[in-house]
Amino acid sequence: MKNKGGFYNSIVNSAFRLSNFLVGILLVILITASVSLIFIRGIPDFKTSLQSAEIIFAIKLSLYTSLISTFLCIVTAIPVAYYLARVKSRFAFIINTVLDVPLALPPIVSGVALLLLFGTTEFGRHLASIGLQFVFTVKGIILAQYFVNVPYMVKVIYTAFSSVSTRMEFVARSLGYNQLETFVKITLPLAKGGIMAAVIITWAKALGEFGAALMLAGATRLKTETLPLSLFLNMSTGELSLAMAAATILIVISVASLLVFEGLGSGTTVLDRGKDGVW
Amino acid sequence: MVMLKLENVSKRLGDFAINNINLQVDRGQYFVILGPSGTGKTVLLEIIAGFHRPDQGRVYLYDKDITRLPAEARKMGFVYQDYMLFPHMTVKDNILFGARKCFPLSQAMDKMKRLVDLLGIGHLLDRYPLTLSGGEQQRVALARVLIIEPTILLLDEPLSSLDPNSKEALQLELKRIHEEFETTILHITHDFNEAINLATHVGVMINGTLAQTGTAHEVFSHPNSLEVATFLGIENIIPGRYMDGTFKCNEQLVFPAPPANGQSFSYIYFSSKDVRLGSEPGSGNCFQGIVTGISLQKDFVSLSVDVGHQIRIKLSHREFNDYSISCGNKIEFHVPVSSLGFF
Repeated sequence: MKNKGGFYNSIVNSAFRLSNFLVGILLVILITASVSLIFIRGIPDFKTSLQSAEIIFAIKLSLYTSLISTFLCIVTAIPVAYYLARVKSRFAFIINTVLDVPLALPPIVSGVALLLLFGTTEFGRHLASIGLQFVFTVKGIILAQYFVNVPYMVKVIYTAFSSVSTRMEFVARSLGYNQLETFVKITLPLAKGGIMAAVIITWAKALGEFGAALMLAGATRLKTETLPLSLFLNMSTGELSLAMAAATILIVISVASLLVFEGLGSGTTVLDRGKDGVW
Repeated sequence: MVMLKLENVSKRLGDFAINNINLQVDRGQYFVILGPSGTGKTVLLEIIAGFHRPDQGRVYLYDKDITRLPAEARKMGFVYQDYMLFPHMTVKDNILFGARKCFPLSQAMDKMKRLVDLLGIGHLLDRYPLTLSGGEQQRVALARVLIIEPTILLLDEPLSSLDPNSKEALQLELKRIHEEFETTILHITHDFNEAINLATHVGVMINGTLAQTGTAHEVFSHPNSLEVATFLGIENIIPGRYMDGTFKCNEQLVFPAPPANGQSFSYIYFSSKDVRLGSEPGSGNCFQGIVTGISLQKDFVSLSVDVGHQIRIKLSHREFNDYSISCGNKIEFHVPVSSLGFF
């Protein structure tokens, strides 16, 4: 190819750099403009909205369900993540691959899957008969949040555990500590940052969970109405100020937890921000 | 007294494999396993410590089969090249970590005080490991394992990450520990100087197998195979035919050889620094060759001489100048019989 000389090339270089920068600027404008519009619409009536029984209910229900589902995620993700971080077997590979499935699915499909399992099978009916009724209940919201988030949490905690050297654990063991003691005294403390990050990001995702919860728990006002469902319900009935209040709360929580997550420096970036548009 | 014994131990782990290792370490020995990097030395040490179970073979400690004994019950002290101090604990808590399991706290504290004085790390107790220099970290790592009074100390390239000064200081430290505590030490390294300086016994590990073991003197002066001799850096290793009393490499290179006593030799070896210039009246092994290469080094001059085989000769600068040697010269040299070796 013919070389067109230094001047031509430096013009191309500058134009290339400039256009990359300009596209970035356009994206920033798009994002800040749309998000700040919610604040602009939401802030004036924010105080009165916060006093409405419906928003208060939604906040309480969101906190209640997200805290429980996050707790359940921690309790199950830690052992699974540790197993995956330490065992390199075919079985570990299978677990890992299966865990990827809910990550790849749109949450609304996950919701349908849960609805089928717990609503139409003997297994679901049996659980319902002993008091674990998930379909169209608050328990269903928790289950939906759990199902969508637990693989994600496993991945983040997996990264944290993988960064702890097995040789450090070996040393602890040769100093007289069995595997469980080593895990508690060495591995957990060293993975603390990553686990904290996982907890915060999971909690924020649980607060925003919409699709799966909608399918499994339904959208019943003042019954299964979490913040995102409240936003949805109020948008569809034209209660704009309530909708904006719910959206504002969600934005604040999401952005704050994102900052904390990045700040904890787990080495993971937020790859999956959900498919609902809330996250 | 045999302390540690490995019988036909094999293990495959990722890219590393060790095959059919037989090893015996007696109480009080300083045993150095010497081998190039990536030959599975660390895996061997980790099997002894109980971090991996061998695919085949058995490990014995004082005649007790410990192959399936968990690491935490073996009471062996393990020190890695990169120290592996617990970064979330102070130096003091690192040192007391294992001791808390073995002794009441007051006794552990006493032991710590003594060790810390011995190793000169008393001023570091409240610091965190990441703020320490390499040499300091390694001292802390040593204190952390010595405090539990391990049956055997397993050192995985303990000096490799240190700068030359700390390396030398810690070698002395290790020697002192070996003498003062009468600890049995199994130390692996790729560094000859460490082996020469520290070892009472040496094993050479090549490609996942132990090629030769013995006292340090035996191994260094009598390598028993081509692999070991090559690894030990012996420059002249020449194949040939052994016939009663002589070893013939080619028509010109014929050496006197010891009686075979039933064994057969297929290589002769001698160090380049044992070759002497000039002839030695009365000795059979005088040779003439053409100088084909000269390499000037800081402390010596290395010649390549063609006698059908390339022979390497190491000279001092003075000798080199006295003989005023240049490429293409024909020179005469001899190899003292006492410096010849065969396998």
